[in-house]
This record gives sequence, C-alpha cells and structure tokens, in this order.
Amino acid sequence: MNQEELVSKLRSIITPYVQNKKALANLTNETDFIKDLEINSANLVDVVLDVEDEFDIEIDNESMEEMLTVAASIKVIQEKLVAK
Amino acid sequence: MIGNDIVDLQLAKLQNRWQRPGWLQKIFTDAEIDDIQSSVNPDHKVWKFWSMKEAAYKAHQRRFLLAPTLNPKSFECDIQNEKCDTVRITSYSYKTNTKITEHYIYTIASALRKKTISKIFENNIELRAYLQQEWAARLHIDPKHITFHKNKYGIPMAYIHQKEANISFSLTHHGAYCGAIFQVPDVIHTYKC
Repeated sequence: MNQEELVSKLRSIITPYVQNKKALANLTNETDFIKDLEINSANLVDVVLDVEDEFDIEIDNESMEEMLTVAASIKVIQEKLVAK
Repeated sequence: MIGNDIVDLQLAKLQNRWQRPGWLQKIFTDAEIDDIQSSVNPDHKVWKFWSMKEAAYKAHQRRFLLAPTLNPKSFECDIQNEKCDTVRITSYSYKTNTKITEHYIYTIASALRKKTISKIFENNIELRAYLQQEWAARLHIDPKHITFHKNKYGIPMAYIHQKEANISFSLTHHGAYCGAIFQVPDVIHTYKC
C-alpha cells in the first residue's frame, strides 16, 4: 500500500471524530489530531482501535504514544504492516 | 504543577462508547478495569479515572514542559486511600480530587504545596477572561496586562507585562461545562489534600 492510499484510509478513519471540519479539508502530514482537527482525546483511542481493525495490525502502548499527527500515525501503520 | 479535567456526562455518552471492545484496555490498567467492572456505577468510575489521568497528565506536562503524548495507561490511579486519591506516573505522583454530579465529573490534580482556587462553570464562559479578572484583582494591576499564548506543545502560558508569569494554572472545557484552577498569585499556603 503506498503513502497516498494510507493517508486516504487514515482520513476516512478519523473523519467521524473530527470537530474542526475545515482543518480536515486542508489535511497535511503535519496536521495534529488534537490541536488542528479538535478530536477529543478519548476519541483518539477510538482512532487507534479503528486503525488496528482497518489494517489488521496490533498497536502496542509505546507506538500508540506517538499517534497524535497524520505523519506519526502513518509511520506506526507502516512499521506494523512491515512486521506482519 | 496543576491540572484539571471536566467531563460532560451527557456529551460523553454521545461521543464515547467506552464499552467498545478493546477501549478500556488501551487506557486503563488491569486493576483499574477490575475496579470499573465491580463498581456500582461503572460509567462514573470510567470517567472519574479518565479525568484523573487527564488532570495528572496536564499537571505533569506543564511541570516538565513535555511534548504531547497519548499514554493514558502510564498514569495509574490509586483510590485505595479514602482521604486522598493519587495518580502515579513513573516516579512522580499527583494528588487528585474529583467531584461527581449527575451532569459532570471534574478532577483537579496537583503537585503544588501552594493554595489553589478551582472553579467550575455550568456554561461555556471565556476562561481566560475569568483568569484575567481574578489575577488582576489580586495583583492590583489592569487585566489587559495579563495575556495568554500557547507554546509549541499547545500548553497555554500566561504573561504579565509580556513576561512569563510564574502562576500555575489549568483550563478545561467539555460540552456545557468548563473549569479553571490556578495557584493563588502571591499567597503561600500549605496545600491540603
């Protein structure tokens, strides 16, 4: 799966939780889930669970710590996909 | 050194289905999950523990100017001692105090030994304006000399006459409720749990 496909899937996953829809339209690698998209922190856990389901991967606590931006999340997904 | 967190219970019911398989395990320790599952009101226990972790996380982040991380499980709640709830993170601990009503749950966390003031608002007010008024009155200055900017980690910092103010504070809002806690400027008291 290439970078573009990963970002597209991630975008679908986070969309239902995003409170700042405008920032979603301008999604970049640097977009921050809390600061820019205003996803509430309890829903970030839902994002992690959704990512696990979508990509059929397991995200350990240490990897989860980093998942606060688009770029960091893509990095974790790629790492886990390679390890499969 | 201080943090707070408020949960609008009605909004949380809409936004967060904590019963979702795997959700509790990402956030809570085994001991916390046991406690939740054996509680008379698991819903309240979930949001009490959650707000304890959030409040302590904010206090810890501000204390050490840490970058944001998503590690709720690293913050361990200890409510064995009836006199004082505590949250531990690595070798540090924060005393917490939780208020539970049918509408919201509010927790404050502190490692400060100084007097603090905490206030909950049952509507969405402009919290920074509230802090400006409170501090200005105590410091006998014009409120407009008190300003706020978020640092690179998203932590709000206070400035008085454009110099960083040495006043610990934390703000929280969720749904219909918000809250502020701050170290009383210039007054030194022993912080009682």
